[in-house]
Amino acid sequence: MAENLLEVKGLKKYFKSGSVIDFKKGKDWYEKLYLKAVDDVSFSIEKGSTLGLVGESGCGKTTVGRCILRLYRADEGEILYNGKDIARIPISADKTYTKKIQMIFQDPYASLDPRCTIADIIGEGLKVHGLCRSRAEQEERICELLEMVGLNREHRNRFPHEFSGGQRQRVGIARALSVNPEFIVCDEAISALDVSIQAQIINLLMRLQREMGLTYLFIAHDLSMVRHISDRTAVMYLGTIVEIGPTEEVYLNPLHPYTKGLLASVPAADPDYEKNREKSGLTGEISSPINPKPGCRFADRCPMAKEICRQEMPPLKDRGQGHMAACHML
Amino acid sequence: MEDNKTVLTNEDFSFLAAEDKGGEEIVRPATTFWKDVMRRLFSSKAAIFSFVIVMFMVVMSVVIPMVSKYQFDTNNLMSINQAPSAEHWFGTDTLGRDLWVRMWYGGRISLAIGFLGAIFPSLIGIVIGGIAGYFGGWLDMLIMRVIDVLMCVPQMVFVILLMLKFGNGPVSIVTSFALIGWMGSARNVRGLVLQMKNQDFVNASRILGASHLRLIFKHLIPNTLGIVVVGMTMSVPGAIFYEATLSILGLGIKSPLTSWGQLLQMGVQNFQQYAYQLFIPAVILSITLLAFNIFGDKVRDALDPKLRN
Repeated sequence: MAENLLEVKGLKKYFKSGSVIDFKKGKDWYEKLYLKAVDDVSFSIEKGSTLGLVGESGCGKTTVGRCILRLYRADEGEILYNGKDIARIPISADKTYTKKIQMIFQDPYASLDPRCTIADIIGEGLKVHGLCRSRAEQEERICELLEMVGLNREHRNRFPHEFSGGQRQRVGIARALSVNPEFIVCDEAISALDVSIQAQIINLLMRLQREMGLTYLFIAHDLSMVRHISDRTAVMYLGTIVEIGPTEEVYLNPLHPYTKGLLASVPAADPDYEKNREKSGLTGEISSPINPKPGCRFADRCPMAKEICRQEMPPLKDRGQGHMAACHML
Repeated sequence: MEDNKTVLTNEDFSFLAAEDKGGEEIVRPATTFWKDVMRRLFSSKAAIFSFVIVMFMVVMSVVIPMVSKYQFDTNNLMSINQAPSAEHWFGTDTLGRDLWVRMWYGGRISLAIGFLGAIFPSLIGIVIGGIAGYFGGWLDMLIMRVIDVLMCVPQMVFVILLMLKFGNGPVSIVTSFALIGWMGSARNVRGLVLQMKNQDFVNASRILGASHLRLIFKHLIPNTLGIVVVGMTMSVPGAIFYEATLSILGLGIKSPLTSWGQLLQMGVQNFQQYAYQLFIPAVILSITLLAFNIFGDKVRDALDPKLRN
């Protein structure tokens, strides 16, 4: 078994969300509200592999990614990168890890500075980390990166608004690769693109992984894409991981009722089958992450919920072959 | 009957070579943001016209005092208060100084005060506003409260106090403008930076390890420049006007040095007898201010992203 490049242990990130004053409650009349975006999340990623992180909007996937990148300061827990806890190091204090951990963004339109040329954008990491000794070397490296992601070297003096979405995403990938990172967080990296471009970008990411030995945390809500790229898949619901395991295992043999519902909601490609099949999808809305009730977060929507589910948070337990699920009913 | 069925061979079912339809090619020629702005700006007749007027004023102010046979401060007591003539195009004043050359020498000072009095406060405002918006927290709080307090004091009081301290003259006028005029643009820039600092392109640089200074000066401030430039263009006529007001009140430029405001002040004293001494500078000043205002307006339109394309 390969060693873990990244290990997240008990990560918590709460956002303040105002307060409630209620004098009927007596002594506890003043209650601070917290939005528990990430609540006790643990996982690990092996070197050179891909962990897919899926879940519906607002479940905290992006917050996990941003804590790893240290755009957010984790409230509790450890983020071990090669065994060293980086959760408490502010991003501006230590440049070492900005060279190792990079990110590919969701929106290729918002993630490129409209006032910089492509060469400026890709060259920024080279400049910040002083990776090139001369201007000519830097130019050469920028061209090399552009060609690596399937763009032409002539593109380097253009501005982002002259490119299409897919091309911009390639620029974003080149920027992330410029500092020779080991680990890349792909935050919904393909969801803003149309399907044919999605496939191109996914294949590019997989090729780069093979060639450079990259490790990915692939955050997405598109289940089929995650299945295609990930070695392991984690399913998040309201700030907690409900199921994690080898991708095929999770997809073919889902254990948690939420995962089952999620997979059942994926439309099938065959219209006849799609029309007649039983839709055992999810009902109800995702409940509020602000001061959540005790017990299983999914209890309100779960068809199997019992009394214990509303009282105790189920722990994430191994159900064989590294396939873990958090549910009392298993 | 002839068999006219199409015969399909295996070849018809072979894969065609992937054609390069140029889908990834970029059709539009490369333009920068500013080139685009320029194109839109100068597609408007009013913008061209007002720009020509402004340039005319600038060129005349630079050239005329150099080539004229009169000096702006030599007086000839044999020919005082003469009406405009072939000899003295704009006439002469009460001390027999040629008003044509004084007009354009005054233009140098008025326009210089206009431009510098718009640029310096904006520069100070950009830096202070950028820092306040980026760092936020108590620093932002402190800076914004200081601005609130300073903005409560009437500007005129400030200028007068600063002029008392620094003395009269174009340099002290520009200095006092710079010291009191930055608050507006600081607020503007702070608002824009606050809006932008959590956008993905800023996060991307942060993740790449860019320093605070780099983020502020390389990414945040350049992206506010559009709006700041509009503010700057709009405040040029304001600065010229303010200088004129000060000079009319006797607080600005003092004779023998001259500016359009100072010429107006001299004109006001004699306008019942020699009306041209007031009207000529008044008309020139008004035309210039109008041209600046129209030009500023058009610059704003050209920079407005909603009006693009």
